[in-house]
Amino acid sequence: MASNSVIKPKTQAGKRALARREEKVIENTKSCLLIRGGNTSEAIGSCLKDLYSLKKPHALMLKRRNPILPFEEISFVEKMSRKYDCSLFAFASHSKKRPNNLVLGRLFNYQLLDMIEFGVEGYQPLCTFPVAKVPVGTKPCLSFQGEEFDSDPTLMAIKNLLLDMFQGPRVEKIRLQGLEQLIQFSYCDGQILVRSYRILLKSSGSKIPRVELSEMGPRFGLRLRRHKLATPEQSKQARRQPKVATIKKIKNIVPDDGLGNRLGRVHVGRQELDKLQTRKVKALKRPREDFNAADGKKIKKRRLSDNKKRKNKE
Amino acid sequence: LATSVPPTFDLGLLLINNPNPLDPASTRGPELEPYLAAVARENAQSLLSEIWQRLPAERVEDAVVAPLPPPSTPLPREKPPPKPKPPSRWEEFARLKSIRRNKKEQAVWDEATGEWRPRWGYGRADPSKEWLLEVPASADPNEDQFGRLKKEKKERVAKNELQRLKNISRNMRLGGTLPALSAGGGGATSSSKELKRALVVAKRSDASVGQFSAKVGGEKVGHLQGRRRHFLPNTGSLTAERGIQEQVLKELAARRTDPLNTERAVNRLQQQREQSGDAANAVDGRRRPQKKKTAGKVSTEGGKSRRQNARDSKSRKYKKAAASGRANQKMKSLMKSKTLGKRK
Repeated sequence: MASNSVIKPKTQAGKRALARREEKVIENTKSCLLIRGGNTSEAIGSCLKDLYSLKKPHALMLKRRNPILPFEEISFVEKMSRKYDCSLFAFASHSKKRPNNLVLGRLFNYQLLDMIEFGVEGYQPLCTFPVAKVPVGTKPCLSFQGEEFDSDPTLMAIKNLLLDMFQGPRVEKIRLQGLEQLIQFSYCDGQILVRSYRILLKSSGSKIPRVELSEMGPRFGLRLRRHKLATPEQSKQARRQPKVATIKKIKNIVPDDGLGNRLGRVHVGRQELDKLQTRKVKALKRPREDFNAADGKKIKKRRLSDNKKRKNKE
Repeated sequence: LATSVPPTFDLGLLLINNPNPLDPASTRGPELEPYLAAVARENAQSLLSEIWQRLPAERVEDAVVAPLPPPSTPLPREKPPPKPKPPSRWEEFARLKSIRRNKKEQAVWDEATGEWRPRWGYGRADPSKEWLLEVPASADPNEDQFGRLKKEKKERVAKNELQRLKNISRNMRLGGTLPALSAGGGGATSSSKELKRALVVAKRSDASVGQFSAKVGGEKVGHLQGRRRHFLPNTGSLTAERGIQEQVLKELAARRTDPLNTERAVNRLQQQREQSGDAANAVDGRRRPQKKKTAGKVSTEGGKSRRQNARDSKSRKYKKAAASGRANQKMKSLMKSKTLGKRK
């Protein structure tokens, strides 16, 4: 927390920036850091730009070339992730040995969690598709086609990473007319084919609309190369959720019965009804000395009717 | 498109998982893209049908909205969940005394100007900006009142800062975020003393394969502070040692309030007689060497009494310690004369 750091922020903007970075119960949308390697081909450079468009505004493109090798030395990526507060990254490079190389990865607590290297094949950029694009910040629908995504452990990890990368902002409610984008990942012959479509909702006979798709782009295939996946302990730690405080239910009390009344049941215990003292007898409250006078005679109880009798006597 | 396995959904992520493989014949050549588009359309239709059916639609102003359930696919977090902050000293005190925070209003009546002023921020009645200050009756007439106010404010700010830093250091200590500096035990080193000691130990213990690392110019290694335990030599004056032992016994004897508990003594005697099974065993409270049991005699399972066993084990321990002590002494003398490394 900002209040747990020795250096206090001097401006409100600084305070807000620090508050944004601190650990939270409900986290911010994951930002993606897009890095260009030492050498990039036109295709992979363009692919990275399209990825940036897809991930905007939760993406940051680094301007300069960074001749690093993520699989050898990840410290640069970790450093940049800490600097810019991004937990996803995409690294694009091109070499003879690894043409059109794309490394997608994610970090936990600014340390590498997992990363997968793909070779991008059959790439067609966003601009080549003459379909109108979706607004920035749209939450896409995701579709995974292929049995391997549920059986093969590597592909399961890849699916998890792709989900994390493309899920978009976390929302509580979604506007049904706003379901405008579908990203389809299909596994075919060692390649993951990525296609992105624009959803058009047409009226059908029933309440549920008829879906029509038009390919919006970009279009590419990802061929799996190397990967560095998280160990089970790492992924377990990364998935640890905070204990969300639940409202403790008080037994026996109904806070509101709908009319603003608070109801509860009072348990009294077993009562012997014939032995209950219901009437308050004032006579029983008098001290006992009244009954026995000093001379041992019983004192006569005075009643109101005695006054009448006395009067009558007089 | 024959769908043999029905798809599964994760509506929190707007996800559809279709575990059916792609038709290999359709994925070759120019038919690939239309085939993929058809597959995608089917998937999208299934997903949207699911959304329309499962999620209750609400109307918010001019849009139809559906609440999304939390995602069922486990995705890793960005950062670890926040640790609960331990309460500060004031918070703890307030909790015990049940002092509650009173929310202060922003506007305060200012007598001097005769208007409502904000309590903080722009336009507040700042006492440090006063142009006129009354000299209180108790103060020295030559004292600088403006300077006094400034000084007091500085002191208050410094005190607050100190308290804040103390709270932070306590949080760190209790939260244990400092890395363990000692090799033995991973516990958090709590005080500055422990940290200093750990540092000195780390600086001293830098030998590898018997060679201590060379000192970098001007580096001070520091002494290991702490009480040195002194042991008397094992050899030497016997009378001195006897005197010490007698002194110890005297002190112990002086502490005992009841020197002899006859009941206890009798019980002990009984117990020992039962255990040893030898009436000839003389027990008068003093240590006696155990008689050897001959083959013919009846002896119980635990031949020695418990007390005797305990005493014997202790004596064994002391003998061992003494022996090792002598060995240690020898090693120490050896070490002093000749070292393996060049430690000065």
